[in-house]
Amino acid sequence: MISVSKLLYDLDAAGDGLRYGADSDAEQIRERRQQRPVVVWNTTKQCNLSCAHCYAGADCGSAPGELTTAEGKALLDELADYGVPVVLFSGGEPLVRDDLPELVAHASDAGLRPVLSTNGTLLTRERARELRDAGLAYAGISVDGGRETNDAFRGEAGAFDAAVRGIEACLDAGLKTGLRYTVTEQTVDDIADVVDLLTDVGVDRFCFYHLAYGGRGVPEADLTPERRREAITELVELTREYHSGAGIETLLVGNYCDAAYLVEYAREAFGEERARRVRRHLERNGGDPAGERVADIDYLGNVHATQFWQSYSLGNVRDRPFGAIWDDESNPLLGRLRDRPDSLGEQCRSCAYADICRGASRLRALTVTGDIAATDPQCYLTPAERAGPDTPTGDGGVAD
Amino acid sequence: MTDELDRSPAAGSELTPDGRRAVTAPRSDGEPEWELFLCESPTEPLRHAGSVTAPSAEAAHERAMGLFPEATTLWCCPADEMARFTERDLGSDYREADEEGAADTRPTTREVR
Repeated sequence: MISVSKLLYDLDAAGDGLRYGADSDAEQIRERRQQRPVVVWNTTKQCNLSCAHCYAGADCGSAPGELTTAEGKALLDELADYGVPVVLFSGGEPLVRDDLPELVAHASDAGLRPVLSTNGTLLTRERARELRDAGLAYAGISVDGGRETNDAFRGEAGAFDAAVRGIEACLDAGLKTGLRYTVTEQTVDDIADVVDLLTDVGVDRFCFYHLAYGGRGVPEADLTPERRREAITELVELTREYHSGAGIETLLVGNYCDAAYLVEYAREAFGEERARRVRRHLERNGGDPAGERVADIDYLGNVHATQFWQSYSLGNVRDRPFGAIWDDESNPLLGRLRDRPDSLGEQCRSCAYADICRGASRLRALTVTGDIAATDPQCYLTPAERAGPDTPTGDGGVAD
Repeated sequence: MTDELDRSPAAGSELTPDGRRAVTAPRSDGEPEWELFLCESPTEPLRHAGSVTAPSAEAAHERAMGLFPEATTLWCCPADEMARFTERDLGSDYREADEEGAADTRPTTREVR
């Protein structure tokens, strides 16, 4: 995740400690655990909606073999012992599991920070309070476009209104609540209207996801790189607009080309000193996290390099503990993901921003080109930007 | 209607006479899963390198070669045909407590439609 609000507009938030080290005034998530990945747990494949881009390929039918309540608790213990800082309960739709509050409470008691990714449509005020009481630290609710766009995207009339009611239920319960919004060709034009509406509702955290090419997320649904650049510029401008007077947090997820773009934007808008500062933060952040700072465990216990990479599994937690699978660098793919930028192709290796981007999405590169070392097809930097400023500094920063 | 999922212990594992468990839970739903074994030089032994989801052995091979272009030998084995045995028993510490605490040990799912 890349925080536009932190990097460009100095808004501190609890997650910045994970992203940029302890250089923040806000209360931070435990620093001790920052070397371990954030783990997404797809607790179920089942979902009440059928979203166009779903990376998990979820549907309304149940799937056999989901981790039981007992297995889930043991898994959470192992994650806590391993030092995982955050567990993200996801799906499918995690709220279809009746034992979700029990699992959230178990995670919280074990010392994990439990957070939730949901479509929000099953969130009543009672369930929001139940999750809050269980120790849920954050609810991220997906809304993809305005009412008409979202409902078409999700395949369900009324899904938009139900999600907004879910957001209101969480806010009413006092839960930290944010928006999850996937930016695609279908949803890109609605961004400003949705931000406007949800700001009025009381949302103060907005996470914008680039499309991952997994499950039902296909390249044909994605923006062109040129349109993507325009969309990111719009988000940066919106963040600036909303930042005045209110602490609105804007995060970009899923394309670390954004890191390079923000340095370029900072230089253009604020000057070299600011660009240097932004870059220093992003160097600490470390670029694309797949296989290193983020991991995924699906409903069957299969471990993946990210939640979007469901078609490849590193191993299964019913056979080996998560930590043993994650630490096993005899797996050449894990080695390759962790050995970036050296394992990337020439264009990425020679890019001035290779250290803060790390080649962005290897999954997108593999899906589109068949070559895991190729350039991410959603890299939207210009050749001049990739070449970098004329006079590099000695500290890894940008030119003076 | 409430759709009940079978998350009972028997869904995931069965005890064998030697104390290990035969892990019988599926590795995938829908498309088949293929366990991968590879080596990167003729003198290396094959080693396990995870699994891919693919509709056929040929598609699994193609997908695996994208992930492991350096492999000189690659086996794609149907995960459903792999017998899994382990001393590990994920969830055993909580299974009894869950069973004592509920008449029906299988958590249910909410109505989704």
